[in-house]
Amino acid sequence: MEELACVRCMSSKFRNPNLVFSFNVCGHTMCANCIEVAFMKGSGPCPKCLIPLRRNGFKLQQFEDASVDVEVETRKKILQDFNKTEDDFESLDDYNEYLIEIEDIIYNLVRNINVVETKERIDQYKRENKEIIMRNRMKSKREEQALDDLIEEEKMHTQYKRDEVLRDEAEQRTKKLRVDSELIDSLARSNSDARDIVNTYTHKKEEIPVSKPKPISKPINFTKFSTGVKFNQSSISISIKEGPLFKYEPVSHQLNGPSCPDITQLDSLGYMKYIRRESPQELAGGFLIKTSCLHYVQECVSALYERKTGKV
Amino acid sequence: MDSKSKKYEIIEFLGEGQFATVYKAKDSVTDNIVAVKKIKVGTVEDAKDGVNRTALREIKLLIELDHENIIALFDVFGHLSNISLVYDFMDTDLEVIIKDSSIVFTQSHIKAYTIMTLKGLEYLHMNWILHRDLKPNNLLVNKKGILKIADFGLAKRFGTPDRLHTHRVVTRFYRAPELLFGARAYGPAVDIWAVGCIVAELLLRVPFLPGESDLDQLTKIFTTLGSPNEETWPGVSKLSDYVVFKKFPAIPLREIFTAAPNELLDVIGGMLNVNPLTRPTCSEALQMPYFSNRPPPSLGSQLPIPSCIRDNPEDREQDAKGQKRKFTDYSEGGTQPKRLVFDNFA
Repeated sequence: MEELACVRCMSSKFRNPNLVFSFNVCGHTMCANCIEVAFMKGSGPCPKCLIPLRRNGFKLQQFEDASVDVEVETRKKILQDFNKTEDDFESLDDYNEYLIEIEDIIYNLVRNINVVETKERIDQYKRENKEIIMRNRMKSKREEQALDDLIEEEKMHTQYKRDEVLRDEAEQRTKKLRVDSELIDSLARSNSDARDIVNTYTHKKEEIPVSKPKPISKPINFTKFSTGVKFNQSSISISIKEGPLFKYEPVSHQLNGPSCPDITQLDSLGYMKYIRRESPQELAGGFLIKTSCLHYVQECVSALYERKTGKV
Repeated sequence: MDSKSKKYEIIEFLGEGQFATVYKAKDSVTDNIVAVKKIKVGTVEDAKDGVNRTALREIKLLIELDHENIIALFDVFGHLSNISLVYDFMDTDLEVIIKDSSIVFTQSHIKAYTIMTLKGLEYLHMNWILHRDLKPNNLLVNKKGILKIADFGLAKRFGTPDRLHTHRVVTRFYRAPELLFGARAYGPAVDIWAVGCIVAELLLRVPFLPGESDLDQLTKIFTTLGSPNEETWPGVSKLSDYVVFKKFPAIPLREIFTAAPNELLDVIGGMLNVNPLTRPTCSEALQMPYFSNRPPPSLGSQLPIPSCIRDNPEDREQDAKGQKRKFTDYSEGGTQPKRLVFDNFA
């Protein structure tokens, strides 16, 4: 098996177990010292494959084989964009197709197969699915937020419970102490038999209730500012179901008569020939004689046919 | 007739206004919840006139209309000298929703409300009816998130030449500049202007152009949108109440509505064009890219419900408050529509 070694100074884990190895997009491993020296300016070529690299592109190597790390990184990056879930697909087959495509892309990128073409594929996908990508990102953010909220709530709950138990214990202790001091007092001052006194007080001590488990009241979870404006509520169970896009459907007149020309045809069909023009005032007021003409033409043709539906 | 008034069991009192008292009632035959609007007799002279004219208008027009976004008039019945109108029961109106500070509007909400308003209005205009009093207060919304245009007290048929209308219509904030300039022949563009103001109000959460008087209203319009001239609005100086205004430059809408997408600004800009002929019609507006683009309009169930209904579904007091405010508004200054003056033209 190949020894994990820095491509620049060739020192390996075997020789120097304390070396910290990092890798970059090309998958070549370098030790922290060499990165420090070779990438002083912030960027430079990889010593092995001369591919230009950025210093902050180096990631700590987690696996012995750097290519595994590269794949993990690539996968992370790709999945940021390819973030559809099964709900986004109509059938399981479609979803599977999509998963296969992702695997193809990652495989190609990691093995340097058709990189240019693959990148084009990614860009195309990004362009086509911009909205879904954004939405799913928002969704996962919201889910994270919801999870955080739940964790926070649980923490508050346990804290509250612990406080309660501590308070109970302290109360009991003070009670016991009080009984003890009363016993000593009466032993010192009373004239009755010491044995009797001791007996009565042991009874009393036994009577102190062992703190009964109180019903755990839930701590109040504040979801409102004092002004009454709510916060922190939208996090869970918001599923944005979008309706269909609006499509304009022209409304048609139920004339129940021969068809009527529309307003744009009035001129060409000669309806406007013998009709007066609008006065400047009428025009300025937004009154069009054409509208009136259309109104009357409609009136003329409407309801000429026999009524079929019995609507009165 | 008496049998009809018994058909509706009054559940509770909802509110009272200048012209009418509104009750929530149950139809004892179908078990539907309805709103019963009992028209007040008013003064002795009014009673002599017979049926209240606004009610008559409303009955005349509404009885023929049937659209998802128009309030449905189920029934009309008289009892003694009283006349009552029976409508869909609507939980709230857009004004309550706009004023509820606990509600946050998303782009989808605004789009949904605008589409529903425009669809209802398109239907009205197609049937040659001008609403003439569009404002958030008259756009009722029910718990399912369906918006319906209501209050046809000022509505009128249009598209008849030589028939002049009164220009003293539409609550001032939503009144189009041609009406303020005294135009007596006008068209559906006055309703479009009002919709533009309402969309702007959905974004700003306060009335967009809150004029204190008719003149102040014009000043507000022109300081915001730029003063008109014969080029931008041909014939404007011929209008009967035309007043020359100082030249104001238009403020770019982007600076007023910082959060609105460009397509929405196009819609608002089109609807709030000072020249009525350049405003889009409802159908044209609905075909603008804003409406068909992403994000899609919210489904009815996702539209916000004001806290007074959401928080205390049982607390009728609160529920009624929203409605009551609605009716008392009529007696206040700013948002009050000028009561129709029935002069020779109207």
